[in-house]
Amino acid sequence: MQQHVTLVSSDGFEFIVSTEAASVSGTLKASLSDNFIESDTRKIVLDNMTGELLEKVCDYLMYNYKYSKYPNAELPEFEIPPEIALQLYVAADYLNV
Amino acid sequence: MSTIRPRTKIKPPKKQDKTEKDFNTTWETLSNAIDEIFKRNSSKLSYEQLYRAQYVLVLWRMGAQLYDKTADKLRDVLSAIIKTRIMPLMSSSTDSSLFLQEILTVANEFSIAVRMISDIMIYCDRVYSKEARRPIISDMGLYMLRTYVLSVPEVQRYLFNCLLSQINEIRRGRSIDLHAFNAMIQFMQSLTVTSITPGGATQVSSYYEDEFEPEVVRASADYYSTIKDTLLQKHDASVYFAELDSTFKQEERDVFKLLAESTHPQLIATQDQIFFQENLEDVFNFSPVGLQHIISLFDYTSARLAYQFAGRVDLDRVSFKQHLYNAVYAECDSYKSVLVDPLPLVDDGTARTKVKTQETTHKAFIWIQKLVTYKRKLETLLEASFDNSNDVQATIDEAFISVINSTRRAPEFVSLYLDDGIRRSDKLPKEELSNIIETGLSMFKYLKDADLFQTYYQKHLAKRLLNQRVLTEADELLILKLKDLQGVTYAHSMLKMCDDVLISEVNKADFEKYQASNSMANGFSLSPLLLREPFWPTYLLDMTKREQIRFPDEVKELMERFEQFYRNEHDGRVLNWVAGLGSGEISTIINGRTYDIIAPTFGMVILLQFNDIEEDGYLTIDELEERTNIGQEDLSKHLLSMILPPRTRILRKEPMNSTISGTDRVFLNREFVSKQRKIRVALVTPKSGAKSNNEMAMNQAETEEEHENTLSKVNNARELAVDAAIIRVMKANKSMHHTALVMEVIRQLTRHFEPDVIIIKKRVEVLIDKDYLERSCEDASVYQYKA
Repeated sequence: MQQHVTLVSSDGFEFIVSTEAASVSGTLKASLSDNFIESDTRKIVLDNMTGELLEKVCDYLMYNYKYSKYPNAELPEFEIPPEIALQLYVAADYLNV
Repeated sequence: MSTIRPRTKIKPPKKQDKTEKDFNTTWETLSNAIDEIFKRNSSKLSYEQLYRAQYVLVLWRMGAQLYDKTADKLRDVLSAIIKTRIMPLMSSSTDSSLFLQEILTVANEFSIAVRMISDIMIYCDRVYSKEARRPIISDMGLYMLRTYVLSVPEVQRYLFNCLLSQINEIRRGRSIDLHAFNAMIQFMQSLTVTSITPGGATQVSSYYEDEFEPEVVRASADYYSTIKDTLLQKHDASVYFAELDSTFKQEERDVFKLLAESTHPQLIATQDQIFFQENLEDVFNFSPVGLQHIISLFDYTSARLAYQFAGRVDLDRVSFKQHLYNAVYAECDSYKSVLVDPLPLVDDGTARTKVKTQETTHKAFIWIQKLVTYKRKLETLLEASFDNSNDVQATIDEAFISVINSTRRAPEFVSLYLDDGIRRSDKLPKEELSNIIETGLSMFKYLKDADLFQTYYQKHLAKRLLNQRVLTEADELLILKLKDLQGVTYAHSMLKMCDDVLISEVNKADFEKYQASNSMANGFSLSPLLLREPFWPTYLLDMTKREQIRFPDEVKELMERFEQFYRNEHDGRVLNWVAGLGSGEISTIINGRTYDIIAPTFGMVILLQFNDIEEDGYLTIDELEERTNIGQEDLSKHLLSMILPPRTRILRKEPMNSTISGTDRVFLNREFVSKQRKIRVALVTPKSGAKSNNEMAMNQAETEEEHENTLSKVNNARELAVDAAIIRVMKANKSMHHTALVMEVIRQLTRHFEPDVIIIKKRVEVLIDKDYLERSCEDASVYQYKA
């Protein structure tokens, strides 16, 4: 099992996150676990997300992954810039987080 | 929440692809991908693309179309698979486990593919399936498998035949590919459908339960029926049970484990239905080997099986118990034949009666012993085969009760049996004695006429005590047990009789001291038994029959001395001598040897008459009668006892024959020789000759006449008991309805005997006549107690 996975945005930005963090998303998890091409290349192209959006998504994946380990810790607020709030919402739906 | 800066513009979500909302193109991508997945080429596909494809279709609100198309696609794939991979294997030339394996492989591959597809379609599941309340894609896949593979009629038929024939192989003791079989069963169980019952509850049922289970039960029923038909033809219950037992064991060991647990109870119910529900009664009735035969043979194994099997269809085992009852009854009843006199009747007065009496006694022993032996064997059977069930025990008891009470003289025989055991108590090992007492008492418990037993037992006890002159442990023990069983009143007289014996012993010692202190010894000694009249059977102490015999002076002197002694001790008591019950011991020297002769009191008195007769002198019968005042009948009885039997021929007579007439001369027998020093003279009745060395000691069965006598005495006693009970009940209740009174009286008396309703009625009438009771003015069936 590879430790990391590369997420690629529509405008070509690449984000490398740990497989575990990516698995916070049901969609990403499924794409890696079945025998599809992504599980081989470890590269997932997310054509419908800009780099700006995907960065925030990755932030969230890490945020969620990090704190899910400490269920009792006090959660710092996750900042969402209002400009992209709606886009982020759609992305969350798409990625099933 | 972050604060929203007023000037910031919220960007709209990125517009979707510019592509037209064209379902077909997008579906094409997915459809192709599904094909590739089935070809196991998934690794060339981009998950993300496919996911986006179904994502957009769902966003476009084309979920329904997407779902249906996917279903169609899956169905087509399965139909193709059946044609290419399964149908070719459905021929008799193919090994059936190959067929099973192929189905499993197909199912497995299909499931993997469906899982991948459902992973892709996850957004569809999340949004569309949920909203439209349709099964998620993976469940839909299973449903497809169930519907378009296993439920295809030809496939299903072939599959079931395949499985059922493998079960039959197992039943024939052959082996099969268990792995494939088990996997198939598990697979069928995993194919579940969720349905909603009319009541609104959800119900999950598997393909196994819905389709296969009924088939397997039906096929097993056929198999069982075949077995049953073969077995029924053998007409042997023992074989029937044994075969079934092994069949059941085999089924449980080999077949049940192949099937789901939910099937087991159904198969067992089928077994019950086929083997027992309709047939058990017939099997029990098989001839010659039916249930009764099995029980009579003490075939523990078959009996155990019969008991178990009977319990499978009827918890109360009514039919089983009926057969058991019949078997036990028949067996016990057959013992009665030993009681029937097998000897031809000889028309011959007293002697005949005598022989018959001894024979009856002997037969009574055999009878009781047979019953007791049988009962012990039944107890073993009860333990070995019937789980010591109280219920079955009760059935056995019932059979015994009804047989024993249908034997008229059972109470007497039981008493004789116990009497015999106790008489031999000092020679028997302790366990055996307690065994005899236990079994005797268990027979006693079966007796309805406890009062009749009481009468006999008292009589036998009396005779035994008079003979032994001491109280044995066994006697005490038994009486205490009777007391526990029947109450103090029941054993009252018996206890008093025992007391008398004990007191007499003390008294004897005191009397000896008294004699010694007054130096009154005259070479004779006397040890009387002091019996209190009310407690001993009346016939023993009957005043009217009391013989006024003349004792020799020495004895008479002793008796007077005792009377004097006794009056000193207990003023105001009346002493009466009952000589007939005692015995005497004489030391004498014949032919230079010393013998101790023990004879009944009368015999002793007769012998003492020869003390003052010179060596070869004689006494005629008339002289003897005059000297002793013993009546003709008793005199000849006692004389003959010392003349006829060679072992106790102490006297001789001229002429030497077995009749006694007044002028016969009686001599002491100078030639008498015996190896023993102690000689016990037993009473002999003319002509009976042999036998009965210890007749004095033995309690005999009564003759018919005596028995009638006892019965009528007991009946009188019963009338009194009924009277007493009626009065007791009426006194307590003052006024009572006839039926209630009868029931209460019966309840109070059943412990002692089975009261007859007619007798109770009669006694009520008598009591009314005697003015103890009166009928109520308002209701003639109500009685009132008159104080």
